[in-house]
Amino acid sequence: MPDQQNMITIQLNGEPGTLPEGSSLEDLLAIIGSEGKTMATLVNDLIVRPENRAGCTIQAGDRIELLIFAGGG
Amino acid sequence: MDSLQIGTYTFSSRLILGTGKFSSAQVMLETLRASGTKLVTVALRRFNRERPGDDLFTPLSAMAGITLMPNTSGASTAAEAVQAARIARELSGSPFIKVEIHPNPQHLMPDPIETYEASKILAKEGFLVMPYIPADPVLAKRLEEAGCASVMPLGSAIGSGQGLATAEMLRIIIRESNIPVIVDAGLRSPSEAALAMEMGCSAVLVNSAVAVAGNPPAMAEAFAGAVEAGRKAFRAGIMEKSGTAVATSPLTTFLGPAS
Repeated sequence: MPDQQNMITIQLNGEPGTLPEGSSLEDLLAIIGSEGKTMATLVNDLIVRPENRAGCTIQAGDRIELLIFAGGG
Repeated sequence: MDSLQIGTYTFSSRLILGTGKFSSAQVMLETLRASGTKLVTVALRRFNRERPGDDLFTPLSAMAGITLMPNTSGASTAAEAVQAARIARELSGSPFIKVEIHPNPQHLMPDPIETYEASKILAKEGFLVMPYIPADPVLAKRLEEAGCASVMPLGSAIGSGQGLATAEMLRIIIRESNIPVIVDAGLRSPSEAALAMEMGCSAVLVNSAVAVAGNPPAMAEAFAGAVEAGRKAFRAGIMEKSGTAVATSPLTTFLGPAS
């Protein structure tokens, strides 16, 4: 886990949030307790596939979207 | 019942179900099982860790024989719908996409211009595009020419239960179409689904009528039976209407007058 001292601010599903500097997208999923769920991940409107999450380092100011399938008609 | 063919996919059921408005995921899953449906639509939403039960991908993936048709609900422009479709394909692996663009929450009528633009782009990207549209024969034909896999005109407004208010336009769309026509939205009861199938629709998509019924699994079974009956009637050839009575028994007298 990256150093907890240096935090960056991000936008997570439209809300401001903080994250340790150097965190990957995969780290973020673990931090919010969503690992194991099937979801789509986007960083600044670009889709990041599951196999690329560990190598995707989050930068300050990034807009991150975590999307699932929910009920709808 | 003969199977439903969309693109290269074949489905044994002509009843397509939505997954919204159910009281719980458990009731929704029971309803899908009872209906015999093979094609199910779901919406893309932001993950909320306070509501982990919202995630339907895991339980639906566990159901054998179900194909997902994600929808783009929430999009109000073609660009938003295209982005939603690409995300949905990443997530589902399914080529089906229900293009649903309704910018006005008051009436939820689909935007024909944005829907056409999005459908054209997505068809070129190899999606099996299933656009939810106003019951407009010209638009339906243009979407067919743009490469859509089907068209899904509305029977009446989403969730209204007003049935086949667009029946006469639907008849024209069905007559002119070379791709499956699926009535989507507005159906309230199984008899309306049967009528849509008798008219020659290839399938119906139902959500509210089943989800808010007193007993959703039982209502889904009733819809499945109605869809099957309507399809069989259509294939059997329904008699023409006549403006006058046409006797079914001989009218010649065979008993002499009482003496």
